[in-house]
Amino acid sequence: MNRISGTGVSLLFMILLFFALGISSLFVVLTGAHVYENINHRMEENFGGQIALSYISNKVRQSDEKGRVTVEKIAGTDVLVLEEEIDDTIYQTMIYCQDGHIKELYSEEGSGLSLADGIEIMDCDRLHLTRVSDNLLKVELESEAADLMYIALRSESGRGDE
Amino acid sequence: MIRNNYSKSQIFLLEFIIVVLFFAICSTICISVFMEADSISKESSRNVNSLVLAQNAAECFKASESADLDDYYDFDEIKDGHYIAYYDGKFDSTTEENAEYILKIDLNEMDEGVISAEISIFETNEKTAFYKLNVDKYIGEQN
Repeated sequence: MNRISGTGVSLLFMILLFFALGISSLFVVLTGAHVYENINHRMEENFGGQIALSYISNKVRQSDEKGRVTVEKIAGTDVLVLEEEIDDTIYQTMIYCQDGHIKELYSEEGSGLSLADGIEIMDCDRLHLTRVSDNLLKVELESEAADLMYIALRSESGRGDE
Repeated sequence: MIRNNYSKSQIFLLEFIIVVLFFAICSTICISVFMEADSISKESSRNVNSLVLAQNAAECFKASESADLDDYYDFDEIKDGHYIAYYDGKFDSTTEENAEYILKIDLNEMDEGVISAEISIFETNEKTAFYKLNVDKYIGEQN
């Protein structure tokens, strides 16, 4: 009789242990999945916003010459126009957001190319460009998360600041 | 001759307990690694956002023609050369009560018309800044 009840208790204990093992495994897997999801979400947020802003700010810095950085509205779209002169010919780099993408169009001035001809750079819902003052550009981006960046134009600064 | 008094079920139980213990140790290590990864990711996201915030403030400081910082940037408090702005967990502008992060700028006038701005970002519950950026600007002779 005692032997039967001892075996029963062992069996019950084993079943409980098995359940504990199962629940713990599930908990570990769920925790891992949750952490992975969080990390992925943060990475996407950082990538979507910061990479686009870094791209625009680098482009502006490269072309930061007096009168060469302008913001225009073409067909209702904010367009950042960066000009450069090569062999007496003016070339324009246009950066704008269209059809859910940031696009770049590099062409000779007055080439007749439209905004639809630009090449896609990355995904973006909206891009607002504002010239806050002569020497300050405001870039607002709506993608995974809203992001904002100010870019001071050194070439347009009234003083030789450093 | 040693006689084995243990039944098969008892040996299996012992083996099972060892397996569970081994699993518990491994799970503890795994969860601590997951938590560490999560915390590194949070810190990285916080640092990226702080960098952008400090960079924006620095660009506005650079762009303003005078020593005033609030020409282009919105501050919540300005006193004794300290400019303070409050931000929530998502780095959106908020009130002092709901703030999780504080951006503070200290201005120091240096020689020959140079102004130095020390941009610091704090967590509200910490006294030391986790991100600092120093910017100098020549404003010329003001008199």
